[in-house]
Amino acid sequence: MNTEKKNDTFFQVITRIIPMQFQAAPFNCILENILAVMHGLSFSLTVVATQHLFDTISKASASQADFSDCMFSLFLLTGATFGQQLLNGIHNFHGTGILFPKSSGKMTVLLHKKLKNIDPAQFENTDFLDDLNKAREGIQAIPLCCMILFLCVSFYGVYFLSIGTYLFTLKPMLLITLLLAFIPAIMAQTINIRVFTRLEEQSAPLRREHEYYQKAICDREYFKETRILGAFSFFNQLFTDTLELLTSKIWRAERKIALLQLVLNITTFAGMGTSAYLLFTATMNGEITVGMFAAVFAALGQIFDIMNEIVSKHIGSMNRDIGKINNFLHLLEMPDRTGSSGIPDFTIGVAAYGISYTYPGRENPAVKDVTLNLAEGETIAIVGENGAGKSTLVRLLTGIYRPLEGRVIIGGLDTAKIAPSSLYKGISGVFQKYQRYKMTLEENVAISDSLAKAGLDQAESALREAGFEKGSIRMEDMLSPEFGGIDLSGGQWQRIAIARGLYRVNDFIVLDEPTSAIDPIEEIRIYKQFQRLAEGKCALVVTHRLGSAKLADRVVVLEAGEIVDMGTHDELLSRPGKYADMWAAQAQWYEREEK
Amino acid sequence: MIEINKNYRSFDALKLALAASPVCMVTDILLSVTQSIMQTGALALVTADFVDTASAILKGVRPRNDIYLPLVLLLVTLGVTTIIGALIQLVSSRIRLNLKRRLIPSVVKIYAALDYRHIENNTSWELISRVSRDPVNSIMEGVEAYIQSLKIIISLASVLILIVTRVWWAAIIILFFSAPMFWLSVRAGRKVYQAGREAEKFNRRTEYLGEVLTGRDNVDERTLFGYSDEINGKWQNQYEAGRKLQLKVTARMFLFIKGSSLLLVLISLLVALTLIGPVLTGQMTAGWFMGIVSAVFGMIQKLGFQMSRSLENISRVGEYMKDLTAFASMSQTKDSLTEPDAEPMVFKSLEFRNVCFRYPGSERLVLDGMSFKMEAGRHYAFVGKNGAGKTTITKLLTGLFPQYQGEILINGKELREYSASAVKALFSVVYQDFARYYIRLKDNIALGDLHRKGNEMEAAHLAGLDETVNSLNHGLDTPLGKIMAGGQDLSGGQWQRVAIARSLNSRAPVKILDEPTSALDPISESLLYRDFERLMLGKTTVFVSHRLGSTKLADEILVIGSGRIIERGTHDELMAANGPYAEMFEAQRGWYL
Repeated sequence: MNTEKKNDTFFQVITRIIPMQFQAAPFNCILENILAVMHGLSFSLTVVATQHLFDTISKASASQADFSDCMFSLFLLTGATFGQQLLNGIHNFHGTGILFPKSSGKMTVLLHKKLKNIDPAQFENTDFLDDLNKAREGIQAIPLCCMILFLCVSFYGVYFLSIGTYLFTLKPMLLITLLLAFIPAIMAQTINIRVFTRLEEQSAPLRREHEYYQKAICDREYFKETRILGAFSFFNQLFTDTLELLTSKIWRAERKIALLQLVLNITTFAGMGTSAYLLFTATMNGEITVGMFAAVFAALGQIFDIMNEIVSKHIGSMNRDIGKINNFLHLLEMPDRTGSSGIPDFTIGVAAYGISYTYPGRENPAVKDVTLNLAEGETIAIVGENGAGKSTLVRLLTGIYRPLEGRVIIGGLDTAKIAPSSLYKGISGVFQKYQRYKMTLEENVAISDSLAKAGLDQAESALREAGFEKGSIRMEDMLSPEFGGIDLSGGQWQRIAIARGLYRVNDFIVLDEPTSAIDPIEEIRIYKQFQRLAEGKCALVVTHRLGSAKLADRVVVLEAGEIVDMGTHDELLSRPGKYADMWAAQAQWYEREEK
Repeated sequence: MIEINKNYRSFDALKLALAASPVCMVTDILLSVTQSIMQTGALALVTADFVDTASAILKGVRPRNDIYLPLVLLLVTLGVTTIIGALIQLVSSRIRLNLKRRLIPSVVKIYAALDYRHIENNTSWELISRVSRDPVNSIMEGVEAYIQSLKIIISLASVLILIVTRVWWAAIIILFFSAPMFWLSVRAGRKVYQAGREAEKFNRRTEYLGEVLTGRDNVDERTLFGYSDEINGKWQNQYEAGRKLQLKVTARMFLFIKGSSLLLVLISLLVALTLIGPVLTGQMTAGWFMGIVSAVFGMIQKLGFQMSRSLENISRVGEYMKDLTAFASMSQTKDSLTEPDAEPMVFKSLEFRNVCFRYPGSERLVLDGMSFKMEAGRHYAFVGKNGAGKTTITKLLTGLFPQYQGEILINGKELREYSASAVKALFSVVYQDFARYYIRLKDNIALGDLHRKGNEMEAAHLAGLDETVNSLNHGLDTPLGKIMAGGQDLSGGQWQRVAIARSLNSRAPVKILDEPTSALDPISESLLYRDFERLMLGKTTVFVSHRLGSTKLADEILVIGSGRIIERGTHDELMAANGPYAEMFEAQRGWYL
């Protein structure tokens, strides 16, 4: 998807983001433009006031005007400049202080909402993660880009229009000045876009790799092991190598842009020189006064300065951002996982018919042609070696992934056709990669069922059931030292994860390998509790501990994504096969030694 | 690479940039100075010359040809100001890249050498993250701010010098009024900056909630629990609250910026006013008046913003340099970056003598009088409940925390007296939270022994990775994880085997396995136990586990409770003793009856 996608052109992007921007903050967008217009006019006004002052001074030096005339003109200019500065302050404040944060907040919300509907399987896809990363950067780029556009039209546009009118009244030929300033700017921007979009595309994977090597040395996750292995030099080499590659890539792009800028500036200067020459001849011919010359000449600097500002700063930053914006827009365009609504009826149970699933970028399917029926109130244990596809099967059976082949019917609802919000009603789970939310204890539990608003008591009882040792910890305590809260042990966190799974109102619950950090006595307690809690519900237990599989009504043995055996614990033990082998392997350690 | 010192002030940002890229830095400064002189003083001068000459020609005082020199000068000034910008841009991006190339490796090197306790301590961890987040940008902002300030000073000075040459007393009046104003600006700028930092703290939580909504790790829970809307609502509230706080800060900042701009307008008025008199008396020509007034009023627009931004960024880089100083002076572990010795020492015995230890910043004694002795060539197992201190023992052994009380003796000599490289070569540890390196599978295994290549295949085979290797697109050469192109992810159990293969590849005489089997399936677990004795023949092994099945293999089991050994003996002895070990074992066996 990453390689095939086409990038919209500059103008296509603009026509898409402007309406988005107006939707995000309509009133502020209008106000921003009004301020910009006034701001633009104030600039031209100061030019006129300057000319007035200079004319008066010329006369004064020829003793044709006195001190009070000069004072009057000077106060006029000061007043105009004062007003201009005031407007400048208000305009910029409104833009950077109000419009920008307001709308980038709205854009972020848009992204969050979109991610909610995107196929979760995408998060296993590196290309998607890459794009997501860039799209997140695009959030700020959109309002920035729109503000620059507003600036170009309402501020610079008005400024150039009014200054143009002024120049025209002085001498029509001077209008050429504006044209001479515009042309190189437009030429440059088209090339600029290409260079930076390409740089972004090319350097993103490299940058990710480079940043990763730093992590492998420095992150908490890796620190101690990298040190004890003495692997610093190994990663440092990779780190500096990728750094060299990355910087030389960026340098090439920067150099290209700078050379372009140089050519552009020379063109601009040619334009300025021509304008100055026009002014000069007009002065020499007596068509305009020397005062006008000086005022317009000073303004000429400003005109070209502003043009330079648009090109090298604004358009430049817009160009750098356009790639990110494209990513943001592409993300918004991705298909939503929608579907019709429905109410699951778990008396029908959960069924899978010939389902297969292959992760993006993988050749072998993780789950292959699985047919399975989970009846009402039944507990099924899924056992199998690592990589047998247990977690993937769970994701398919809960509707988190939609099967590429076959159908999964949860409580009578086809997971491929029903909207996620309807589908997950009544399903809960404790995952292998359970989360440690940097939130309060209560939030950590209640996050699993935010719509229920079941309240504190419910959360507390879920914690009790999960065997969480509360001690002096209060429900409103923050569970993160980063936000001034407390630190919990791995075992405590695991119990919170279990409480979280229990808290969510459910008729179908999944327990994916929940015991890795709990000691044997605890483990048994929790499994027994789970058995009790799963009573009358559909339940899936993914486990390595075959002992716990004994508690299930049926056991499914998975190998290389396929079901190789299925039956009750006793049935499976009684016949030779994978399960019996696994059982024997594990149980031997606990058999009494016959002396 | 740049040497990082231990005493930095705000101004040292310039020195760092100069060290990273001396030629470009000098060029940048020279170009910037030229640009500001050209834009103000020089431009005023040539404008004055041109206007006066033109007026004289129009009055018929001077010949028409006299205009060409001033015109050419005018155009040259214009040309230089226009073109110089692109060069400055190029030079400063070069400085930025050089800084990235030379400074970041130094930061990483310091980082990697820090005492391990800083990594586990949250306060120092925050400082470390702050410093390492984006050093180049933080420093470059400061560098640019200093150059900007220099440009402002040069601009002002060049105009002032022009005025002095004509009417010296006007310059004195201007200086008299503007000096206090600048002093006020500097003070106000600092205040604004401090207020801004307050608001930044607020945004961290918003950022975290954003991660919850967009991150990869919690996609399962996010999908199934459907909390996106709820958290998004919370995110919005947080964001709005932070935004409003920030709004106040921004408002204050603008008030300050524009306040100083408006003051500048008044100063310009003052300048122009003092110059009217000399024009009327003929002491100054109209051309000079126009040149100076154009330059002065032209500066207002830029100065207000640039001045306050520079001041803010100078304060910011000052804070950053303080952090950098603190970071560089954090205690480092000697020889921490060395590779393990090529030939491990001969191991005879390991003894803990009354070792007490608490984690820095914590009150609780994790080890409280821990004493035991281990002999070479035997298999040991540590068992005990979570939090009993099992993993802490491995952290002390590997030298991560040298701040323990009591003695740890290797071959009768204190652990702290050995070189870091010797200790690294002595132990090979598979941690419970072992590292998953997102590099090629082969390299993952090769890291176990940096001095010997070519045994990766065998180690992978012994660790039971044959099937995994076959399933990967490029076998041992496949990059793992989602970082490199074509990378493939492994399951938790497969990763654990990779970690075990890494340990098998190591020639360390003492192998420590911290909960090695928690993610393995029964058959692999069983195979591992069986193979372990064979693989580790002649080695000393230490198992840390609460899966008691594995401990049966051990020659001696050490049961830990509240930071000390509460029981020790063989499996049979402990079962016969009917103590805590027997209780745990019975509980676990319950499953298999």
